[in-house]
Amino acid sequence: MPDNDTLREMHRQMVRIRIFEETLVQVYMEGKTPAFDIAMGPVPGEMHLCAGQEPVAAGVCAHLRPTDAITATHRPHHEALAHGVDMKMMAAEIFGKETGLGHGKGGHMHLFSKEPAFGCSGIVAEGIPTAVGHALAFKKMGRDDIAVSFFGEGAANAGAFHESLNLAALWDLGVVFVCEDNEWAISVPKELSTAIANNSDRAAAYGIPGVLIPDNDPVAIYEAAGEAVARARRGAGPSLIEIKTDRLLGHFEGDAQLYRTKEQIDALKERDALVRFEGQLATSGVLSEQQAAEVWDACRTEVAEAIAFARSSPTPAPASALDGVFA
Amino acid sequence: MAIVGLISHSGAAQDVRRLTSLARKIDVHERVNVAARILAGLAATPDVSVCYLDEPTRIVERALAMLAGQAQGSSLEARPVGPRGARHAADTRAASAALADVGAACVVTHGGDGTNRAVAYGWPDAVIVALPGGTNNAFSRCVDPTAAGIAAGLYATAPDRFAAHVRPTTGLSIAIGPDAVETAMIDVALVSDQWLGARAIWDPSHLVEAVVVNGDPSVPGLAGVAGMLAPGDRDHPTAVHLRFGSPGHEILAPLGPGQLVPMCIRDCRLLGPDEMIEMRGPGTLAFDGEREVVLRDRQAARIRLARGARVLDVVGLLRAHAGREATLAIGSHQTTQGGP
Repeated sequence: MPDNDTLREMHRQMVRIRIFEETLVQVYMEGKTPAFDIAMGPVPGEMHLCAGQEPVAAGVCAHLRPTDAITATHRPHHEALAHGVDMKMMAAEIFGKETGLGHGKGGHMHLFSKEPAFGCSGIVAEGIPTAVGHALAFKKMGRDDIAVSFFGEGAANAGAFHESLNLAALWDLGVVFVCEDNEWAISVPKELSTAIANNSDRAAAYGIPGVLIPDNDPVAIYEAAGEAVARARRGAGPSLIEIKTDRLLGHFEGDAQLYRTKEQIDALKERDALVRFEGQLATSGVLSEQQAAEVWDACRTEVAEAIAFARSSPTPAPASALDGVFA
Repeated sequence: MAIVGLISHSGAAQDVRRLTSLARKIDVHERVNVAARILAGLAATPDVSVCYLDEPTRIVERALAMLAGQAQGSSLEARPVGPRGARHAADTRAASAALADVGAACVVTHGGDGTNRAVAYGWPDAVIVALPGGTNNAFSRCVDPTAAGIAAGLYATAPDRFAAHVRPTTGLSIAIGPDAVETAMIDVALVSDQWLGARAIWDPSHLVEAVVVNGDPSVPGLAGVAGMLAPGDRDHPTAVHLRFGSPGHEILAPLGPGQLVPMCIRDCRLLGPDEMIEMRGPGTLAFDGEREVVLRDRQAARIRLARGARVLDVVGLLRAHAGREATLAIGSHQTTQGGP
């Protein structure tokens, strides 16, 4: 059970993630109208935002150290921010600027930070074996750091998922596999792609614990993740946590979402986990209305400064195009 | 045609206790398999139809398909009841209430104490055939699912004849404020947490007090703790009020499956049949092992013994019925289940 300070910090993380994402909704569309063009505007490339999935990042990352390694997906902002990745450098990377985490060459799907240790990829399921590699390295180095792999329910159908769970279980590696099930793999509903309802069932195939968190609740996620992280850190091996979460926005910005109805989208917004959590904090006396307002104000300022930093940063020089590029 | 309810949900036996204890995990295939075995038994009794909980993994539909693949149960009528795509306990409550509305004679459940609590809440007079399919299974009894299906089918077709095999249980009624009344099958606990979170209780230091009926040393959870101190049995139900914390008597308590933890019992007292225990917040009330209701500061909950759900004694019914007549309707259904 998180103490009150932890609850407030989880809330703060969820708020700053939400503001960051909602700001990007606006910024990303600059210059892209009337004809949508992913090359236009200040933010090039595709954009996959995570609004609604903040509880996953806040609940899990609350247990991590900067030296614990995270691998994430093409929808990575929440985990990067909650793990402590510098927001200004992250925004600059998203804008493709020289001051970004990867000097503007990775973009929003390829954020990389050495400390806090964070990486993500646009390739579905790519981060899962990478997390196993992190954990193997930690074990060989005698460190009690752990690896956390975040991935979507679509990735759980990839061979890399199964190969990774098998090796992590075989070698008792300190990995926490976190499946963010938002029910949609791009536009494909889970029931049309996945033979089983709960990916946590797949843990049994590799002899590791599998837990289902059914309701996108940050406290439930915090409690389960705390147990899984402690288990991994003490050398007891990997575990799999499946979280039923909500993707409030489209797969990518500009997605018309023709694959789901307005009623379905509205229903997601009505059960917004951030709104629910903030209400619970107020009811329980953990966070007053004034404190909540101060958090929102401070986070708006932080995000505005990060976006301003990104906007004002230089673009990479053409001559540096091949620097740091290995493939 | 007699109606039997069937409640099985893929959300049972999935929670954090897979990490905090040695709780088993039941995957959907196993749930489908158990449901098919229940349906095989039901199909072997004539003039029975099934109304089932419709949930996202389509357990019963898949079970029917599994049976059909073995040329069994093809004549069994089955239809969903209650909310479609049930995800939460409230949906199970609604489906259970709907079973009462359609006139079901009994309901077979494959779940844990939480599942049975939801069924009993939605249908207080239910006759339950409870098969263990959850994390803590203090309420249910382990019998073969096919035998359970046969017994449920026999009971449904002649409830008066088999009435002697329906046994009342004692449960708990929890009044919170002027209106809200909850039920618990086994136990009510006050824990110091003020969040529902992952629902389960696994840290004994968070326990403040509990009321437990039918303490049973052979099961995990608070029922097991009470059973170690003041065991009861179903024919002679007892209820105890436990207060936790030091100074007190330290025991090694079976708080979860395979989870033996030191626990300090400050006080353990048998309750009288009309006694009321008041628990006050701040804290959270847990029913049958799961945090359900947050109590604010000084908010009170009043707990009393109450009539619990009725259960069908599967073994007793089948023993009493054995050899008296053709047990199963061979030929009237396409089934390989045979009689004596």
